[in-house]
Amino acid sequence: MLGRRLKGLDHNFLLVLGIILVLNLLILSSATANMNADVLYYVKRQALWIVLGLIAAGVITFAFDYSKLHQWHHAIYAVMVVMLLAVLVVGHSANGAQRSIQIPGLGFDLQSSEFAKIMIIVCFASYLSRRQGELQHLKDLAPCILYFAVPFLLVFIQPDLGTSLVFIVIFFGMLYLAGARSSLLLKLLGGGLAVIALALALHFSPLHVPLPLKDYQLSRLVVFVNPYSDPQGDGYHIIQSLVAVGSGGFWGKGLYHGSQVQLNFLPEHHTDFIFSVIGEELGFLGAGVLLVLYYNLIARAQAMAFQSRDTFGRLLIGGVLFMWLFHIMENIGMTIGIMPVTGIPLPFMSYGGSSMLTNLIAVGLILNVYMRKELLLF
Amino acid sequence: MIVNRRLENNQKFFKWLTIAVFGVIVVRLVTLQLLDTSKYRTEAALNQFRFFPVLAPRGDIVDSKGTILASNKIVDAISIVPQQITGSAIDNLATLVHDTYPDIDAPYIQKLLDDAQQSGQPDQSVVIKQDVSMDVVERLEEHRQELPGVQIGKSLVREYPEGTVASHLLGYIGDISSDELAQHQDENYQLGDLIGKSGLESQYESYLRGRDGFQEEEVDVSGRPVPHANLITVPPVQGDKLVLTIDNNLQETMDTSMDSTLKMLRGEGYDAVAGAAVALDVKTGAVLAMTSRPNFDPNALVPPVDDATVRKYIDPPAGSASPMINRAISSLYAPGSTFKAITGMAALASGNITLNTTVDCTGRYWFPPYPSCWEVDGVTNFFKAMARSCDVYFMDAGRRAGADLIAKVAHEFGLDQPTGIDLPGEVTGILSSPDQQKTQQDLYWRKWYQGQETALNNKYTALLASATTAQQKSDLLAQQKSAQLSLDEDYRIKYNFYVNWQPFETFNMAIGQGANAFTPIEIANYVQQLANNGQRMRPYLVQEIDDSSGKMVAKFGPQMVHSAAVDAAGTMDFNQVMATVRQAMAGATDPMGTSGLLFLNYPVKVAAKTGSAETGGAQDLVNGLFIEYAPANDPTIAFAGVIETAHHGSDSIGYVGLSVLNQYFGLGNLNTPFGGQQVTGGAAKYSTPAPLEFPHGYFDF
Repeated sequence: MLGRRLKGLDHNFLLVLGIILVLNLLILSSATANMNADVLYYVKRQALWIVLGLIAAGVITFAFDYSKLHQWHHAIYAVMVVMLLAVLVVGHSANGAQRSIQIPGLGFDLQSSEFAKIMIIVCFASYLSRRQGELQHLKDLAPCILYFAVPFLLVFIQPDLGTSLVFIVIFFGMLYLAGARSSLLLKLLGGGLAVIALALALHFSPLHVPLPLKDYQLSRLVVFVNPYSDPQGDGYHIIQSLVAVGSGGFWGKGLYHGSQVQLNFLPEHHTDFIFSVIGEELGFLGAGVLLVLYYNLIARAQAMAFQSRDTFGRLLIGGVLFMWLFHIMENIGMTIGIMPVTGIPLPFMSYGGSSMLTNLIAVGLILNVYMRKELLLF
Repeated sequence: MIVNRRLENNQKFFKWLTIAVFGVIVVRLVTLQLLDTSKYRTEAALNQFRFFPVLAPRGDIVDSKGTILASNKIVDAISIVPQQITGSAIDNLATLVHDTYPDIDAPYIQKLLDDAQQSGQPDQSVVIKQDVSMDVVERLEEHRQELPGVQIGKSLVREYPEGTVASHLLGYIGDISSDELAQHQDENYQLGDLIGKSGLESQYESYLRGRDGFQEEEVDVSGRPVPHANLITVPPVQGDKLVLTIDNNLQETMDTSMDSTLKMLRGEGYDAVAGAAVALDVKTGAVLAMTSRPNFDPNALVPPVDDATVRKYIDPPAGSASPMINRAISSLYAPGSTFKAITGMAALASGNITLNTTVDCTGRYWFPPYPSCWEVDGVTNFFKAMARSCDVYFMDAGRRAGADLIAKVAHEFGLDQPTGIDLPGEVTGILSSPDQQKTQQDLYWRKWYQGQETALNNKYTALLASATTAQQKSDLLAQQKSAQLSLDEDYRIKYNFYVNWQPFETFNMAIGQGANAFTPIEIANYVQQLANNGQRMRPYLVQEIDDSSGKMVAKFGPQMVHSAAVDAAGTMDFNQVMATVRQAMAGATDPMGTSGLLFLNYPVKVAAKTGSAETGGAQDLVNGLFIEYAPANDPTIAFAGVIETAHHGSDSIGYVGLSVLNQYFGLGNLNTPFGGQQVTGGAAKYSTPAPLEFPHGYFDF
């Protein structure tokens, strides 16, 4: 029976994922080479997260049929809200934001908002799959908005702008896949943008209406357009990242030989700016290979989504797809100066346990859905 | 089927969305990594590589025989890299070195670091102490773990092997100041650089400095160098070498005999700490030796300088003599009787004095204010007057020559001009004459009178305005008239006294008193000119400059500045006048002369003149002066010197003049009271001190 199930897995998908994970450990070994007396300290920790994540993915793939999640979604929603509230109450503050809960004894900061992404995908997929064909009018969407607004606002006030944006993308993306009317979604999106534009206009008008954004978030959002306007301040990060990627050229400077990375001119190069390391040390070639791998991963997952046996499964995979696609666009875009700097990690590449676990759990969900594309008869 | 079509649309939408996202990223990567690569490569290199200066060693300074007077030595140095300092490293360092170097404590180290921070070069390490002793180096190595950011390395340090010898003419080096930076703005200096501060180190800075090299280093984001192969190195070029005219043996003799003489004088109760002396080559003007007291050790002033040294040299207590002044070129002294050769030349040239002229010195001059002579010389002719330094004779000779002619001869001998010696800070002598005094003082006293008159008028205008009765008014008007008369009379007396040349001023001038004052180098140059038959040579210290490869880049030789020309009205032409004065000066070292004891049985005939000049202080203090040249018949060396607040010249600075000749002619310690050795206490007395030449109160009449 297990054999049949294993056969049901997508080998291409797993192969691509495996290559990405190996590449991740390799590039981390270079990015963190000068950061600890034990040169492999970060690689070992990341490897541990990968192993734990793969175990979690395996359990999620095999232990239950994803339809069981319909029964658990209230509990999952409750746990998610409690976790996000916990961050606000006992959260560990970094860079003016409360984003993680320190787990004593493990030296591990639990990033609730990372896990919240996969949890909201599960809950929202269940919620929407039970409302098929009822998403044609604005009044139908109102409860969806409310359902989503609670976790979104808890993330937004941490404040975690990057994850808030991910939530918005997941929200619209899943509604679209669930069959909501496109014109309705466009109106909603346009309305939202109009509200934002109005808020900005009022903020910079003589009225100085306050924004629900901190000053550093606003200046980061704007500075990517012209990082040289503040080369020592907000623009510094972007400039150093552009220099790293640009100076890599076609072939790259070679693993362990990127001056921007190894001499620390590029900060946070093992977490949010890991793509700059690839760009500098492995060049256009290495970055291109990674993009091909990502494209294949997403294309395979997309194919699996549309082979799922029901809407719930399709929505589960679709939510994950929108999450990954946005993460890739925002994270890589920020390192090459076409997106504002927000602290969201590159899936399977950035150093960090919460992100790695979340994404591997997502892999587990995808495989669970795909493996059960036809009801198994026992 | 409707559902299926929707799913197909969804799938298509997602596929194109994915392609769009990846497409945008790829386009951007093509721009960054394939089109703009070189631009970003340059920016990365600017981050990665820095050029650190490699300081050039300063050029050496050597004497005429090649003895090294200034050089560089390799020493162990403690320095701190500010970014790498952590925890209590500064306190630990202070604790470890404090026993050996009491001036170094934590606040001192912090101050050096703060200064460096402000100088705008925070990347570079800051030197805390140069020339660290071996045991301290070992101690620091043992405690290396407790001293993050502290470096112990080799460093090049300016060294003056002879210590205090020739300190003023060599000068010293120090950290460049912001003023000097502005002054040398196009010469590629920056804060933290060293620069010559005085003496030859300053005068020849552009030669001595050399050209810094640089070393390319790979650095991380905090400016810390990391190992890297194939870095560019441009080696520094050492500064040029100065070859001096100084003879170090003669210089040392001058320095030690000056110290011995000052010590001897202090033992006798004089407050003798200051003085200066210069020896010149008569034919060329080359400076053979030069000294000044109090002096300093240039080694102690090589940065970093501790507070004790600053207090000792740079910032001495108020009222004490400053060691940093080169009194040989920067201090003015009344010449006293050393001026009598000028007066003598003027008198002979005027024709109003001949070799047959005699004056009967009864110990006091017969014109008011009847100034006294230092002794009673009886019937005195020109030669006896010079040998005995008879004041009455020279006052009368001055009267007969006239102040204008004396000033003219003094001018011909350069006493109102800088000598042009190649040292910074030379001061020009003050030479007064009737004309000059009138132009200088006339305007001053006219203004004084106007000011007084205005004040007086204002005062009485105010008083009259407040007067009520006619009686009060007429009283006030009478008072005003009387005050005006008294002011007019006061003005007339003052104007006459200060503006018009008075007869007594000629008498003063004739014997080297009064307003005239010259630098020792000016006096030495005048002695050189007289000994060189009227040809004044520019004094110079550097005869050759060689670059670091040994190639000569500059050469300096004898340079005649002026040949004395005075219209002689008498039977002698001016050459004969000078010859006669030289003959008379040789008489001063005959047994009956004022320097007779000093040169008793001396194998070389010396021409000399002693002098004592009132300092104008409250006590009857005099500056002892002494001039000489030798051999008298064909002079090669000329000397002038002064010791402040001491004996008559023969018994003070005369010993230095004697020691210099002993060394110059290779005569050992002949006739010197201290045998060339350091004198302990005041026991060594050579002759009875001469009575002071001029009783106090000479000007109060």
